[in-house]
Parts: sequence; C-alpha cells; structure tokens
Amino acid sequence: MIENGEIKKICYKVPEGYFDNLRTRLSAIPRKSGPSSSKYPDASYFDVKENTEGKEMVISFWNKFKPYITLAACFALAVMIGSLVVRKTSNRSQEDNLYEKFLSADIIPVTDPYVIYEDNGSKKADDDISDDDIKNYLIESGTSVELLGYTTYEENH
Amino acid sequence: MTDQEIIRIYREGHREQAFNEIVSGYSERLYWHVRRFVCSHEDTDDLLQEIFIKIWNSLPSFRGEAKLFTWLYRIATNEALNFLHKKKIRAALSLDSLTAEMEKKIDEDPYFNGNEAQRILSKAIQKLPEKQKLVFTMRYYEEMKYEEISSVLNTSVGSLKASYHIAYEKIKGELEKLSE
Repeated sequence: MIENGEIKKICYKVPEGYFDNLRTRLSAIPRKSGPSSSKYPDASYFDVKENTEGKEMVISFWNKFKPYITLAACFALAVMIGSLVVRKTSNRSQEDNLYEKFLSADIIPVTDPYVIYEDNGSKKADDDISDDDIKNYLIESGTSVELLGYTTYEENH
Repeated sequence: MTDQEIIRIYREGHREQAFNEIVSGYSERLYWHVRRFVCSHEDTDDLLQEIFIKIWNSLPSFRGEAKLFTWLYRIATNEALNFLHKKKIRAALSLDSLTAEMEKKIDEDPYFNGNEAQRILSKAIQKLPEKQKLVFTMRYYEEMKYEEISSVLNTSVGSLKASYHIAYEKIKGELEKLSE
C-alpha cells in the first residue's frame, strides 16, 4: 500500500492564488526588514539539537571555547579561595605559636635555656666571674690604688 | 536562475534581486517541505514568513561553502523543528500529547483533500520521532537523495538509510492495520 503512487501525492491543498500571494509577501521582506545586515551573527543561530553542526556553520571563538574558559575560571576561583583559606589558617597558627613563645620567653632565657634546670644563684653563674672581672669592676668604679693594692696584697697572702 | 547566479548577483550588491530569486525558486518547495512536517496551512504560512526573514538577515553570513539549496533547507528544517519543540512543550504543560494534537489538526484541516489512506499515512508520520519524520518526508515525498538529506541534516548516509527503513516499517505496519 505504501508503495502505491497515489498515496504519495500531495494530500493538502492551499487557498487559491496562495503561492502568488506568498511570493509577493515574501518579496516585501527586504523593504520591511531594512538592509540585509545579519541580526544573527552566524549560522549557529539556526542550530537545534538534531542537526547542530552544519558544514558551512561558523562557530565563533567565544562560543567554541566558552565551556573551557568557564571551567578554567571556576578552577582558578576554587584555587584562589582555597589558597586564601589555607593562608588565613596558617597565619593564625603561626600567631598562636608566637604567643606561646612569648609566654615561655619570660621563663626560659633564650641564650641559656638549661638554666631552668639549675638552682637559683647557681654555682655556674658564680664561676663565670673571674678575678679579672672583679679587678676591672674595682678599677671602673673608682676604687683607689691603695685599696686595690691592699686587696691584691690580701689575695697574695 | 541557478544557485551560483543568485549568489553572484547577491555578491555584486543586487541583494534584493537575489533574495527575490530565492523566493521565486524556493518558496513553494520550502512550503511543502514545512507543510508535510507541521501539517497545518496556517502554521506553515507563519513559519514561511519567519524562515524567509531569517534567510534575508543571514544571507551576509552565507559563505557559499555549502549549496544554497542545502543552506535554505537547513534553515527551514530548523525552524520547523523549533516550532515543533515549542508545540511539544506547550502540549506537555497542558498535559496533552503532541501526536494527538497533530492528528486532530489533520482531521479538522479544511485544506486536507486526501483519501482515508492518505489521512492515515499523514497521522502515522506524525507518530514518528522528529528525526525519522524528517528523513521519511524528505525521502518518501520529496524523493531527495540520501546525500542531499545528509548535507541538510548533517547525518551520515548509513544512519539515514537505517532511520528511513525503521520509519518505513512503522508506517507500513500502521497502514496494514488499516487494511485488515
């Protein structure tokens, strides 16, 4: 039945004189629309999912790379936010450590941390003062030579 | 006037003349192409206006890499498909079926003058998925070569042959039901 030529014939009709009228109306489009300047940048305007890629279709640079650019921008944004968060939290921990250092700096001398394991007025501190240190102190403090000589005498005897 | 001549006079600056040649050469052919697809005369008439406005506006972007005929058909086909998409959405929103709406249109169309077999054939075509419907009408009614359909729909010839075969079998089945 489907192969029957009769069934293939156009089964629709149009009002009388329709095509002449249609041609007249369509021919008026340039005058109504103005100069033929493309409102639609390229043939991709006519795309639908079923037949998206026409051979003569021009895909603009922006349309072609839009998904990739968007993806790259999202990635860059995520990296920026991530690095900001990391930087912020790492600064805070550094500050916390610094605060603790300040607290312990009052107790532990930086130059000699082992001192906290020794008694107050330890021998080590006394031992560090030599006779020469005492002499220098006496000289600088204006102690007279006689008194210094006496002290030296006393030391020698 | 041949397609090449139309393109040549357009490039020479005689744009309106070239457009009028397109209207003279293709308006009737495109009308039937769209009409078979959307059924209604009124819808086809509205679509033809839209199609030719788009042809006029996009002529500057036609670079002549494809045949003029292919390019025009592609615009018309896409407009028809977009029209059906919109119709389908409207039908879905009103909880109706597009196929039922199209069948009703065929029944109520004052410009339908076919016999019962043709009515059933038209309804059976409306039941096909859009791509199959396109392939079937272009091949069966318009007797276009697969290569031509391929350049319009940008689908391989093999895929078109398969699509046409499936559509053909479905329609044959529908018509056989009628004759039983």
